[in-house]
Amino acid sequence: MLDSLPVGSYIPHDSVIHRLRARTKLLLLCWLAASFFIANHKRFHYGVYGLAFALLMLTMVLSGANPGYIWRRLRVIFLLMAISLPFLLIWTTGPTWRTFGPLVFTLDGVRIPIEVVVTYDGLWFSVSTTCIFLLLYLGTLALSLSTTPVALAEAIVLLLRPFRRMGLPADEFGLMTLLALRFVPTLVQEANQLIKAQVSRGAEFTTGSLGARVRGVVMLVVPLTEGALRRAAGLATALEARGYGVTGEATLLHEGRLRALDWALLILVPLITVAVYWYL
Amino acid sequence: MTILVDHLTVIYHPGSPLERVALRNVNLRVEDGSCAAIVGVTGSGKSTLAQCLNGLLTPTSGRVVVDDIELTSRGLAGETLRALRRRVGLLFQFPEGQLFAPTIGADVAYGPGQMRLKRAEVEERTRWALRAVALPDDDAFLARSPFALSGGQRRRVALAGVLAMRPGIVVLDEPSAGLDAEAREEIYATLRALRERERLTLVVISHDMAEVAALAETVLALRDGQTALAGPTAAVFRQTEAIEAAGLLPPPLAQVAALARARGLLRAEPTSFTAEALAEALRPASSAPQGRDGAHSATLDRGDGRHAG
Amino acid sequence: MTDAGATAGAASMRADIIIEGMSYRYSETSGAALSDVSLTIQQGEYVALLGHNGSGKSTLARIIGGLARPSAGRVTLAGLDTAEPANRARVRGLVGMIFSDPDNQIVATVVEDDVGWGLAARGFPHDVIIERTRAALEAVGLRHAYGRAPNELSGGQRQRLAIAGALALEPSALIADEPTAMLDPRSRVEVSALLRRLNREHGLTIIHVTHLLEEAASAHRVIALDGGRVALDAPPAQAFADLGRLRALRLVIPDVALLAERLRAEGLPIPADALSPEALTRALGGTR
Repeated sequence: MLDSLPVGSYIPHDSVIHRLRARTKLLLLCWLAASFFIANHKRFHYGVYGLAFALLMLTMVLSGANPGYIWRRLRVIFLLMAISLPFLLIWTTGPTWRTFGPLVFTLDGVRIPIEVVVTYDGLWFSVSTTCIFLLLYLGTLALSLSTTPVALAEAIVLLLRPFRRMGLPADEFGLMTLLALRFVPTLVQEANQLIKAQVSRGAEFTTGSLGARVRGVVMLVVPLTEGALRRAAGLATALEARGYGVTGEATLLHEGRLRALDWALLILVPLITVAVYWYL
Repeated sequence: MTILVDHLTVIYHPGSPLERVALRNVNLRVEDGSCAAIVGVTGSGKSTLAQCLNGLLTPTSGRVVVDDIELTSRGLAGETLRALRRRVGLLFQFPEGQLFAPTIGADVAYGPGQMRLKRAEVEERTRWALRAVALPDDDAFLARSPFALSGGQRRRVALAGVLAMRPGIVVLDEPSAGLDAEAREEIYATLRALRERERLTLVVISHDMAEVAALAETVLALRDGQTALAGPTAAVFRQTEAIEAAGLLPPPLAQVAALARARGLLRAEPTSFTAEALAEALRPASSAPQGRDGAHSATLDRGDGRHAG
Repeated sequence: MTDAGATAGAASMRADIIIEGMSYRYSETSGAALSDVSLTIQQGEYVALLGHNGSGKSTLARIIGGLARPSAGRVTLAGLDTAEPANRARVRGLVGMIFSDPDNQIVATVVEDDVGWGLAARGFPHDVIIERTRAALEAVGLRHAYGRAPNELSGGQRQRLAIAGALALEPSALIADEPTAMLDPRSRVEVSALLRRLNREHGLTIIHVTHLLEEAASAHRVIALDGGRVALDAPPAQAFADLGRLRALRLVIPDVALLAERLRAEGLPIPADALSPEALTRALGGTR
């Protein structure tokens, strides 16, 4: 169940996308996210989405990612969206697009007829949100599968470095990113194992009374927290033994100066996006 | 209780690009009150097999039969599945990591508490289970936090939690992994006592053959999801080359026996791979103190003879 | 160089570990975890540090590695007091440490990134990082694992990767705190053999903390702790001659040693340190 969680991981490969600096990829992803929200102010803004989708697909193809792998990662997202879509559709006001129903619910023997009203705004909002969500997810996936966590951590340190003077712990953010990327899959695997173990002891997570389910959650949260703390203690000792923090400035393993292609992309992608936004 | 595993095949994500065969055509029979060991390297399918035994995983084909409950690719209905899980207790790897309750008593009582038993019965089972794993069963101990115990003790509390459900069969996945030698001995002593006193049927999963040597009557060695070796423990341990081919390390005493056999030093095949039995098999022909020198030179001759030939 | 380096001079070539009258307690109120330990471990020695759970062996290892400060007494490494904060960086450079769970020591998701990470954290220049990463992976026999993800490696390989991470810093001593406790028997043999080889070929001081006598058999010297005190300090042949003594230290006697004990009672000349199947059969076969 949990092994299909959308946690992306680095897939070693030699491609143009892999060779790009992590900073470039991170900045472009941030730009895409920003452009969606800017585009949102215009009624018809699907040109920007279409462009982003095309760019991301191109990225995926260039990075040599296995389509089967991407599909498996996307499946869970589709499922999540299918669940949330009806709520997005209903919870808006404005001119009506269409009315469904009445649907009849029965609560304690009382029949409650409900008319489902879908507004134009609701429709518009759902489609936009779904697109943004999907595109950002694809972008994150492309970033994580083509960038090693160490490079990503270094990119964060470099990008945050100007703010260090304001007291922002840039290096610590970098280390935190690295450790999170490294340990989230491990913790997910441990959670998966734990669920099975507790089920073997008769735990109920999906069936049974409310009380039983609450107890089920406690049965997961307590051992998971305890395990994560134990791991953190071990990790802290190991990091200290490996000499983290004994000297001032760390060397960057991956992030060097931006190259021609990095600069080109950092200039071209925003330009094209703005152009599409303006003229479409 | 008896377990029968019949042509069991388990395939993960069948029909997708991530399809992976975890077990193929595996057979196993564990008689009532006996102990079987399942050995293999990481990824050989031994944990998958363990999870099939109590219905956590459903076979892709083949079947698992525990007394009158039969698990096939169709799966089991809720009530039967619960009955199977009650019959077959499964202790996972590093089970001390699944303790959750504020007190030892509450943790051990969780399993029987889920079975809609009377309170007195639950308490009786809790105390029995703690005694069965050689831990105290007094109120003071029951009220202690499980998190304050040593690693080995916590693991035994977790085992008590499984035993308190009164299963007829207990499947243990790497019961001694990560423990120091002393705690390891204690766990195995507990398992031996459980077999003798409670006639529990045991299935022990391990990557360490030496550990299961003294406990198991039969051994099933898996390699890439298929049976590499199977049979009575002594017979399996004689096949050191096949064990190594399965990526495993034969128990040290089985290695001694194999080396001695190759040099013609083995007087008779040992009946088991304990120090006692092997010393008997290696003892010079006449073990009377007077004949010691003669016997030793005889061994020398045999050794030299082999080298010359 | 630092002033400590200048005064240590020739001693820095021989990074001996000297422990003098050292005691340790976790807090003011708790009992002593280590009391009055005095030891000298010379550069290039392979020491097996034995003891049951709670005997103080891991605590001693952490103090030697500079991860904990002694409550009394002194630990020096190449003449540097390990408790002195000013010496921290140099001490870290002189001793590497590895632990039981390789997963808690590996921080990156690509093999060479992980080895390079420790070097990068200490600010080594780029070309040095690349060169040392290569050399360290070569030394632990993981050159083929370049570009792979650590979670695709076996337990033994992951522990070797952790060792490579420590080796890349070119320490003069490696402290391995129960490095095989989480591993399967094959990987255990693999990791022990690597430690022996690093000692033999690279002249690295090895302090191998273990509760397994068979792993201690190949050491130059066996030190056993009991109740926070040194209970035994002898070469293996001498240390394993008295199994009763080892039992009293709550150590579990390996099967091969039990067999050797029985055969010895039969009058066969089995040496005390024949703890491996090969050594025992060799003794039986009387190859001399």
